[in-house]
Amino acid sequence: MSAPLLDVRDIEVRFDGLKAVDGASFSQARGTLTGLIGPNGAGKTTLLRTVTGTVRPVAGAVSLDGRDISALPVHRRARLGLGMSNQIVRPFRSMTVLDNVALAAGLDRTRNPLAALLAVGRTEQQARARDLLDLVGIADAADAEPENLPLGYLKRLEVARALALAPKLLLLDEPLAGLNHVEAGRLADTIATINQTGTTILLIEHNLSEVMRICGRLLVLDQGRLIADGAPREVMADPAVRAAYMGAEADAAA
Amino acid sequence: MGAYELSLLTLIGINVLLALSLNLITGFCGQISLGHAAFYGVGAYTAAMLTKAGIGFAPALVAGAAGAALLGLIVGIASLRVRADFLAITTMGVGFLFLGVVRQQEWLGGELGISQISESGLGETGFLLLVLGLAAGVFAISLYIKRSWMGFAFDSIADDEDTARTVGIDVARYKLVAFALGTAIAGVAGGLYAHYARIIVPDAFGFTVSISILAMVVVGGIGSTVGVLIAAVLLTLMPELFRFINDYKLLLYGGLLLLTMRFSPAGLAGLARLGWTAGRKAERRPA
Repeated sequence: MSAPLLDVRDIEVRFDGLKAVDGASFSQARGTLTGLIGPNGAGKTTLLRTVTGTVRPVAGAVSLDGRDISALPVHRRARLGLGMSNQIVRPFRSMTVLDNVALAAGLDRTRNPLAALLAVGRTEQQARARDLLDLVGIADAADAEPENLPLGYLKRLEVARALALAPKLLLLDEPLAGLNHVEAGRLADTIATINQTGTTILLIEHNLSEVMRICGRLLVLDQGRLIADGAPREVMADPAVRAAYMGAEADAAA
Repeated sequence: MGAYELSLLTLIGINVLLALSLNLITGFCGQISLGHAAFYGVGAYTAAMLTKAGIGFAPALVAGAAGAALLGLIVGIASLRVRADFLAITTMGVGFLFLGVVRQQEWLGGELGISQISESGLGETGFLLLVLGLAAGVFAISLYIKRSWMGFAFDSIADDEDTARTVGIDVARYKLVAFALGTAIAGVAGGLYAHYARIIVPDAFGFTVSISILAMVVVGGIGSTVGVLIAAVLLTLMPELFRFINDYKLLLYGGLLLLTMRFSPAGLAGLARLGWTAGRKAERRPA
C-alpha cells in the first residue's frame, strides 16, 4: 500500500484550557471519500482547521503527501493541494460569484505579487470557474453578487471555490447544511462524482443518510477524541458511537 | 498661463499623486492609514536635504521615494498583525511620531523647517509638466494594477484576508507590496512639494494633512482610481477658487467625509454608478 495522502498525528487543540481536540490521529488514503461525523461541539471543524492551518494545534503533526506541513502557513498549504469549503460561508463580497471561483482557479497567477502584476486577463480562469459552477449547479448565478444569494447557493459557491484550487485533498465542512432535501441529494451525488474523478475528500456532515450513502469510511469524533473508524455500517452499529450520537440526539430532542 | 495657474496646477498634480498613493493602500488593499502624511514628509525632507547638499534633483526625488518606502515597509511589517481599527490607530501613531521626531531635530530645522530649498532646475513650466506627467503615470499604473491579477488579489484581501489565505494568497507579501508602492509614491509627492514650495515646515505633514488625503480617497470612492482623481482635483480647487472656503478647509473636508460616509459610502464613484444604472433603467422603461 502506498503512503497515505493525509496523515494526522496526535493532534491536540486547546481553547482557553479546554481541550477541543484531544490526541486525534488518523490517515486517509488517496482517492477515498471519508466522512467525519460526531455530535455538535465534538471538535470536527477544529480538527479540519488544523489540517488547513487556520487553527494551530498545541501538539501533533499533519502530513500531506508524505510531507510534514505542520509549520506551513495557510496559503502554502492551499498551494500544496488543500482546498476547504467553510461551514459558515465566506464569499468575497466585492466580487461576482464567477470571480470568487476564478480567483482560486488562478492559483499560478497569484503565486507572488510580481507574477500577479504582470498577468492581465482572466478569461481562461473564468471559463474554468463557469464549469465548476455548473458542476455544483449554480451556473445561473455566475454574474450575481454573493450579497443577493440564498444560503444554498453560497454553500455550493464554497465547494466550487475550493475545487478551483484543483486540490489533492478537498475538505468539506457541512456542505449540505441549509440545502433542501433535493438539493442536498444532488450535491451529495456531485461530491461522490468529484471523488470518483480522482479527488480525495474528507467530509464533515450532519446529514447522516447522505453520509452513509456516499462515504466509504466513517470517522467519529466525540469530545475531541476519535471513538470509531471503519465502514459506515459497522461504525454506526458500534455501541460507543450510538451512545455518543443517541445521547446527543436525545439531548437535542429534549 | 499665469504664475498663479501654474502654481495651482502643480499643487493639484501633487495632491493627485498623494491621493492615488493612499488609494493603492487603503482603496485597493483595504489597509486604512491615518498617517499617510508621514511618508509624504519623509520624501520631502529627504529630497530637500539632498538637493541642499548639492545632489541633483532627480536622484534626490528617487532617494525621497526610497526613504518613504523604507519607512512604509517598516510600518507595514509592524502592522501585519493588526487590522482595521487597530491599524488606523497604529498609522495615526506613526504620523504623530514623525512630527514629534522632526520637530526635535536641529539638523532638520526643528519647528522652522527647511527654507531656501534649491530650484528643481526645470523652470516653472517644466516642473509642472514633470508633476503632471508623474500624476498621469501613477493614474495609468493604478488603472493597470486594478485590471491585473495583483488587483484581483488585493480585492480578496480587502474583502476578507483569512479567506484570501485559503485560496493561496500570500496576504503578508501583497500587503507589503501595497505599502511599499503607496508610500514610495507619497515620497515622490513629498520631494516634488519640497521643490515646489521651496520651504517646508513640520506642520505641512501633520495629522490634518493625513486626513485631507484620506478625504480625497473617501469622497472619490475608496478604490476607484477615476473617482479619487476627480476628488483630489475638486478638493484642491475648492479652497483655492473660493477664498472664503480656505478659512474653513478642515470644516469642508470633515463635512464631506461625514456626508460621504453617511449618504454614499462608495463616494463619487458610487454616485456615478447609481446614476448610470438609474439612467439605463429609465431608458429601458417603455414610453
